Amino acid sequence: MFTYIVRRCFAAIPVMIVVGVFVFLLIHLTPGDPADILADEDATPAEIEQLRESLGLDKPLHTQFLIWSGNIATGDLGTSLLVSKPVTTLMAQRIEPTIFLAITTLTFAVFLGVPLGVMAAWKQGTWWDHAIMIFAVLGFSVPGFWLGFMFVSKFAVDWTIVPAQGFVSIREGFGTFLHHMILPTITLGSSYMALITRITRATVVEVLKEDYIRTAYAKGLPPMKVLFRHALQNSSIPIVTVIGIGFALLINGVVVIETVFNIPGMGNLTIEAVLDRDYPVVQGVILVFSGIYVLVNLVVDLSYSIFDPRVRH
Amino acid sequence: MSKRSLVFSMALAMGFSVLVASGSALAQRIPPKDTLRFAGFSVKVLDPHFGGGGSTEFFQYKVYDSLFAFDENMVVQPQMAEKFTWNADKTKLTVTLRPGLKFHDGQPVRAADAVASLKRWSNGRRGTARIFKQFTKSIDVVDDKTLTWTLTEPFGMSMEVITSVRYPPAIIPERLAKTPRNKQIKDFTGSGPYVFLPDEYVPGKQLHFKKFEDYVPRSEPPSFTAGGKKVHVKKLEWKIMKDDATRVAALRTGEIDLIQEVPHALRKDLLTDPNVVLKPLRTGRQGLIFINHLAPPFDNKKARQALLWLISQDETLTAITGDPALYQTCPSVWTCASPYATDVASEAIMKQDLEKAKQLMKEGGYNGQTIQVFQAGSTATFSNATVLAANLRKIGVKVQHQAMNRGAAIARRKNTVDPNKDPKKGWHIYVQATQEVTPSIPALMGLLQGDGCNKKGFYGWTCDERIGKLKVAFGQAKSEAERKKIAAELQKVVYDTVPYIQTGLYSNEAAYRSNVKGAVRAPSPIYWNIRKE
Repeated sequence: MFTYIVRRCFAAIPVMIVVGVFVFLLIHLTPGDPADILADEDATPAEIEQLRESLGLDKPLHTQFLIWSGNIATGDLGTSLLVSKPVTTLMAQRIEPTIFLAITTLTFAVFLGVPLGVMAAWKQGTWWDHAIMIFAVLGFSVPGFWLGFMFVSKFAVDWTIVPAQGFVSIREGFGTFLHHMILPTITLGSSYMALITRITRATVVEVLKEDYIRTAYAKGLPPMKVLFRHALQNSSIPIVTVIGIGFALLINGVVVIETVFNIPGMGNLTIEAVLDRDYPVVQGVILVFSGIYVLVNLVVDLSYSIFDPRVRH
Repeated sequence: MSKRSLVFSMALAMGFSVLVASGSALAQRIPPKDTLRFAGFSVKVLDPHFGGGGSTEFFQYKVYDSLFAFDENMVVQPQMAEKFTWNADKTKLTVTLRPGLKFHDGQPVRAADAVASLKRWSNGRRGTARIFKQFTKSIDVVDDKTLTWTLTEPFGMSMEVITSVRYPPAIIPERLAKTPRNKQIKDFTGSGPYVFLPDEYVPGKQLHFKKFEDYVPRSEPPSFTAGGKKVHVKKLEWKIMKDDATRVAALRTGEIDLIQEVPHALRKDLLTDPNVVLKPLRTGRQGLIFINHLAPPFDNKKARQALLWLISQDETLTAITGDPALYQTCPSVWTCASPYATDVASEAIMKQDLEKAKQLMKEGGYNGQTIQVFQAGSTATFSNATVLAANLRKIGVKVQHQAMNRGAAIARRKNTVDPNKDPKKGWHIYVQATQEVTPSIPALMGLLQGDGCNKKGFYGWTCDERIGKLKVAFGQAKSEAERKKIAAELQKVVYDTVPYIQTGLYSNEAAYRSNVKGAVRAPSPIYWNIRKE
């Protein structure tokens, strides 16, 4: 197992290099540069050029890439060209809200999506099944930003039972933290939950047709035990895979939901950096996101051996 | 109690606890009475001399003070200066600092700090700073409280230059002012009415300030950026909120006290809220349509003049604001509230005539090419560009209107390639906006340049030496009457050569909770004199 993990970690290195090169080229080939953003509206072209030089943006692209990748190799993600702070500091200031939003969303989506999917499979063809599937289709189809604004309008502005925006650290109190996370979590989690519900239903429906399920019923096991002990456990690999793939969806969603709910997280940082052409920040953030994605997929792969002992052999 | 009812009771208790926690959490979100919490835009650069946009200027007004300031009549008033005198030939200004001025670190403000700050500011990239440097022979320390500014020659606008209506020269400690111009300072010690709290600063999230207890306000009432800067709150919290609807929702729930600017489209939600007041707290904005003088058809003056007849300020401003109370048409290229505003040669801009526009476009050499119109930023500039594009289509001109983010737009506007040959890179028309006060003094109008000959100089590349000459003449005029005459002459030139077209003034109101009182209107949001009841 240890060898497997080490092999997978090494396999992630070329992925990260490709991501690094791609991100570097993509952001540098986008029109505009930080010197333009930093200069005043009546700055002369010569003054903007001087500023470009002072930021090191006048160097050839390959030189800039070599400098950046050399720094990355030593663990230095660089310094923001605009706010003059290390990229690692900026990310450290922003990572907490995003991590907690991801955790609450995953929890919400998995703990609601899996039981709903199992329920729909169990009651296949009944109005329970149809109702859950309609719910899932809606969850997947309604855009997150629209849902977010509707929730804010009703629950925050009209009924004032939850805050309209912001993030409060868990260190300031679990109740306050949770209170701020309710709307963003439901908004971000709805599509994720819908995906898990649909996959769970489809997989469990297949498993319920297996002989061993019929045997379990025949030997008199209660339906819940059959469903959750035998059917769900044997359906878990596709479900866990979807949870892993869905993590990419989550990262996409974070960018929008953090803006709607004014959560100062990594998604917001990415948007700002892209709009400001703050190259080191964009490169650093995307590299870290890619690393997390690779890591999540590694964890998913490793979890297969827990759900299916055959994988271990 | 059965197992099922026990589970049910526990679920009820948990639900109740969450509700109680929610109530207390909500109470925590309402800012206390001695804290003013407002939603503003993101700020990138905190160094007041370095560059950056309007948010940097806004930060500056909290933390830093300046020697002089403009009052609401656009008259220069002393601010950190106690008194100032000119020598007989107006080439040497002597400024004495007010007693009791201190920096936030407790050190007294000295003339040496002011001199070093002025030198650093004048090395910046701002138009007024460039003029200051151009006319400066030397800036010298006389003693701890006195400094002199010696000019190369008399310049009628020298007080306006050293005051600077946009981005005034912030006075920072000498030790920081020695930082090179292309390197941002990292210590934001100022002498303004608020102290910046760096430990609570999270870029993109928040900037917090506390009242500077040792600040000595002037005795005069506040007026624009001049007068007494009295602080009535202990803490000022600047929360960065990017989304307009989120800002409005937060104001309505009381999570914030004030929104700097409410987008016109969301006013309706707030007009009916009895807990919210809507009022402009900053001077308005002015739409500007820049024209590329290098490429056909706008390399021909007639085609540029056609745009003057094409535009209807009323139509454009209605599209932007949706409410006549929030806009003002203006015949002058100078801010309509400034003493230099005039209606000379303004017939075309004030009277839309599509037939005449069509005729002039034809005479100007329009031959069916697609006109590349682009803009960036707010919905106001989008509306402005949309109305322009619609009117161009009405007279049979093909148009491609592109909206883009600021970074892409700035990159594109400096591109001199012919848009008729390379429509993806070049441009014909660029729509933007500037602050209402920016064109208030002709000699200091940085956006108005005639130095674009040979594809050099300011974007738009207007090549007309009359502009530079008249701006200099304005600055050197001996009397106000002469200045007004030159301003009118320069306006004639602008309407003849058409470097850009102003599309009228509009304002965005601030919105604040009804318990917020005493807010002062200024070119940039300033939160002194403001209090919560």
